[in-house]
Amino acid sequence: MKKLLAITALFIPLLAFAHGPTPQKVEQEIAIDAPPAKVWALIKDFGNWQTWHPAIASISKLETKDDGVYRTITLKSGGTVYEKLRSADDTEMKLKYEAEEGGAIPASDYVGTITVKAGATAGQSSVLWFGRYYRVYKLNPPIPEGQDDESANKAVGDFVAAGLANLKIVAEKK
Amino acid sequence: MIRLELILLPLILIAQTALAAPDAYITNQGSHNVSVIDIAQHQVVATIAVGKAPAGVAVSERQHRAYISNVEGQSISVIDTQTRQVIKEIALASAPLGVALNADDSRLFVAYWYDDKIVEFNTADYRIVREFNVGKSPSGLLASLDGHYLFVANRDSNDVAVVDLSKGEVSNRITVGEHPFGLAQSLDGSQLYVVNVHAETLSIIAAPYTAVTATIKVGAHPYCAAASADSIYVTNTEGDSVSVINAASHLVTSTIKVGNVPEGIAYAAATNQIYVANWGDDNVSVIDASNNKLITQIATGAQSRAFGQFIAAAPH
Repeated sequence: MKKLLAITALFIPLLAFAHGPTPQKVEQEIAIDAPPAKVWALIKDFGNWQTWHPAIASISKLETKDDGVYRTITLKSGGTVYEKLRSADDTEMKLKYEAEEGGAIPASDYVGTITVKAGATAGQSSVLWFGRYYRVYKLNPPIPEGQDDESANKAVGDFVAAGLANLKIVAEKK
Repeated sequence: MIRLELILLPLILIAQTALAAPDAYITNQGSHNVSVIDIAQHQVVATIAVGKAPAGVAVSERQHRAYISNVEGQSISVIDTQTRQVIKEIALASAPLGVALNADDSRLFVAYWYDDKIVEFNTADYRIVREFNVGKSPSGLLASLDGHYLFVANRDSNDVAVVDLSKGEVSNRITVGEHPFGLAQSLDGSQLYVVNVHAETLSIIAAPYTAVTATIKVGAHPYCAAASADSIYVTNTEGDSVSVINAASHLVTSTIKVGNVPEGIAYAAATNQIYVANWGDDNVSVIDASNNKLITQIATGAQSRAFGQFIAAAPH
């Protein structure tokens, strides 16, 4: 059984990038009454997003592999998403991560970039969450229900919106 | 004795310069339209509604036509570049991405993404002339300047198909890096440039196009390339930058910061500038090719891709 899982694991990366021809975009921004450093600390802590993201029930212990750090997020709505941290830059306060194939959020080849910028005053921040991804269905239309662009856009859009809204609440707590 | 050529030649050159600057056609995949940019003024002079999710573009100066691939609309919009109107929409059997014209603009090639084939249209009557079976997820398309070949980047086969247009068959499949996507060529047509997205390299295939002759490391998740007289410019979609490679030495001489997720790139010979479509910023960056500095940014539509030769190449 372990061998079968290991072989299957080899195939996942090969399939992971065979996306279709039309990328989708999510881009949302929120203003937060908290210093950038405090907000960045919450985002940068890749293994603890459940402390501020309301859609996340729990996160597995971080796994360090040859090619990076991985986590499995379990959603309150059910299902998991396996994700890899690409980079976390303290100078730019920018975190980049990707979601692996077959997760509970119906999008493929998702790469998200979250950037914290200084707000109007010292105690304020602005967070920009940008993502690029494709619909789940990779073949010629007709597209099965739940695997189209609209489903991907709704699921990702809702996930980002919920995350930013609650990040604001958590960060603003004194 | 009056030297006639001293009078006529400058007048001819002035006339050529005044007529010579072609527009840039930027496909906006998110807003389903095309931004037409006057490259001398650095301004959008028209926004033309096309089909659903346009991406690919090929421009013919001699025919005054721009051909746009509507990926989700599964059609080609034909734009009359003088009136800036869509004069024809060619319905296709499948989703198109890459489009390219042959050397004399008599043929339009369309890559059918899901069907692993290239369909050749007669640009006079839009009829299908031939079809070529190529590799998986055919993406970048480019015709050789001498009229002999069509090159096809087969993204999921990791190779370039060389189609012999006289014989009407695929004459060669050349293995390149992982996930080849965009294609470009040197101004004299002797070097074919292939951008490998996952390998993060540029493969060079020199004439007679039988093998890879050089491989150069570029930036993160590169998509497309364009050539000036002395350099090759490559867009790094996840580095938000353009790698500049000296065409003779093959060394990366600089990395220019551009916008978010830069994709399509083209060289404007008339102004010696490079145009880059930034998918993530809904705009175009303009680079001065003489010093590789950013000149300006021009707002376009949503999710600008400009995949293909979106500025007509200088006549040769």
